[in-house]
Amino acid sequence: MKKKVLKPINKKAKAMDEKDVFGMSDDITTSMPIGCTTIFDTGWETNPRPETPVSNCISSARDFTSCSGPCWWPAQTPDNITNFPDFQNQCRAIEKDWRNLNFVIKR
Amino acid sequence: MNSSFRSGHLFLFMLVGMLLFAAPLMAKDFLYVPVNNALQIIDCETDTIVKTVPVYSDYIMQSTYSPDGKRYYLNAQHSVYVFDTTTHEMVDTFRFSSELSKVTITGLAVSTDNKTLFLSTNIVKKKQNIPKLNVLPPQLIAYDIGKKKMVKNYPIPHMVFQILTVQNDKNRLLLLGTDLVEIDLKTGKTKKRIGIMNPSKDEEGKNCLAIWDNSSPGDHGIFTTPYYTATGMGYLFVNRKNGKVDLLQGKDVWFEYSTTLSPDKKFLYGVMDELIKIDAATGETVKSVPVPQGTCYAINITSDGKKLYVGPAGPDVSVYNTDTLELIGVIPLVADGVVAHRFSM
Repeated sequence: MKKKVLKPINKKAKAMDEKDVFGMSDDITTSMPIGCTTIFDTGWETNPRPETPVSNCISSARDFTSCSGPCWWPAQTPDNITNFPDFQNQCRAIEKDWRNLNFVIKR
Repeated sequence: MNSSFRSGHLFLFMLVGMLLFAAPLMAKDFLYVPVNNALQIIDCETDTIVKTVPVYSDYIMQSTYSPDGKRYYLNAQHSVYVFDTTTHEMVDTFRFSSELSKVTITGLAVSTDNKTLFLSTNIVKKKQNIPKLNVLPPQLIAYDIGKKKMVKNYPIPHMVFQILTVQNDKNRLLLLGTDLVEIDLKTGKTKKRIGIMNPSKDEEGKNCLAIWDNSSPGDHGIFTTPYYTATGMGYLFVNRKNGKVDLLQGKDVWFEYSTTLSPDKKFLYGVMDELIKIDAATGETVKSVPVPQGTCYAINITSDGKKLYVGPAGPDVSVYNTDTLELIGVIPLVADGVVAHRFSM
C-alpha cells in the first residue's frame, strides 16, 4: 500500500518541510576537507617508512591536533569545529600532554 | 661671521653626506607561530622566542598577513584574531558564528590595499526550535576591516583553502580548492585555471592539500604547494604579482605537506617527515634529510635565504641550514601549531 504523504498546514510545519535544503539531495558534494578519512591511503596509519616517526597517525603523534582541529578524522578524534570547540585546552601539545586526554562521547 | 657661516654650511653638508651614504638599516626577520592558545614570536637572528602572547583560547588552523606586513590575521575557524606586528598585541577579534548561523572559515587573505579581508566559508543556518539544518553553498565573503562588516558575498566552489590576491588586478582572486579557479569580484563569475579534482581532458587529476601558504610579506610573491597525481607528484606555482600559474613536475615522489620557494627562486623546500630540497627549475631532488622531531606542517625561509624554519605541527620549530640541510637547532614551543609566517621588519 502506498504510504500517505503528510502535508504541512501551518507556517512552522511548512518550514520543516523545506525541499530545497542544499546538501540534502542525492548529488551531495561533501564539504569535508580531503584527508585520511576521505581518501584511500593504504598504510598511512602504520607509516611504511623505516625511519621516524613510526606510526604517523597514532594518538601520541604530532599529527593528532590538526586531525582533530578541522574535523579531519571525525570518527577517531573529537572535533574542534562543532562538538568539542575547546578540545585544545585539554591537550595543548599532544606529544607532552596526551595523558590528559579525556573526551566524552555525546549521545 | 663669514667663517662661522662657512663652518655651519660645512657641517650641514657633512651631515647630509653621511645620511646619503650611510648603509641602509638591515631588516630583521621574525617568525610568527600561532599555537594552541598563544601566539609565539621567534627572533631569527638568535633563534629564541622573544614573546609569547596568550590572549586567545583557540585552535588556529591558518593565518595570513596584510601585504604591508603590519597585521597578522589568525583563522580560528569561527573567528579571526588580529595582531599588530609592531606592538605584538592582539588589536581585534572578528566573530562570525552565532547559535543560528554557524560560519566555518576555510581560507583567508587580505586585499592588496590592506582594507578587505576575504574569507572562504561554509555556512550552516538553523531556525530556533526547528531541528533542521540549512547548508548554504560555500561563500566567499568580502569583509571591510575598518568598518567591521561584510560588504559582499559570492558563491564559490567547495573546499577553498587558499585565497590568492593578484597585485596588478584588485578585482581578481585565485581560489584554490577542488580546482584552481579565478573569480571576478565585479561579476562573481568564476573560471577554471587548473583542474585538480575536476581535470580537463588534457589534464591529470590531482590531490592537493593547500592549507599552507608559507610566503612572507614583501617576498617574491610566489605561492607554491605540492600536489599528487596517479603517476607522481608536482608543484603548483602562483605568482601573486600577476596571477601567472605554472606547474612543475617533481622527479621523485616525496610526502610533503607544504613548500616554500627560496628568495632567489632557485630552490623549493618541502616538508612532512623529511625536509627536501628541490631544484625549482627541473624538479630534481637536490637533497633530503629526515626530520628527527617528526611530522611538520609548515616551512619558512629567512629573507637572506640562509635558514629554514621547519614546523610547527608538534610543539617545536627546527632550524636548518639551506645549503647543507644541516640541523642548526630546535626551538621548543608551548603548544602544537599548524602554520607560521616570517616577517621582516
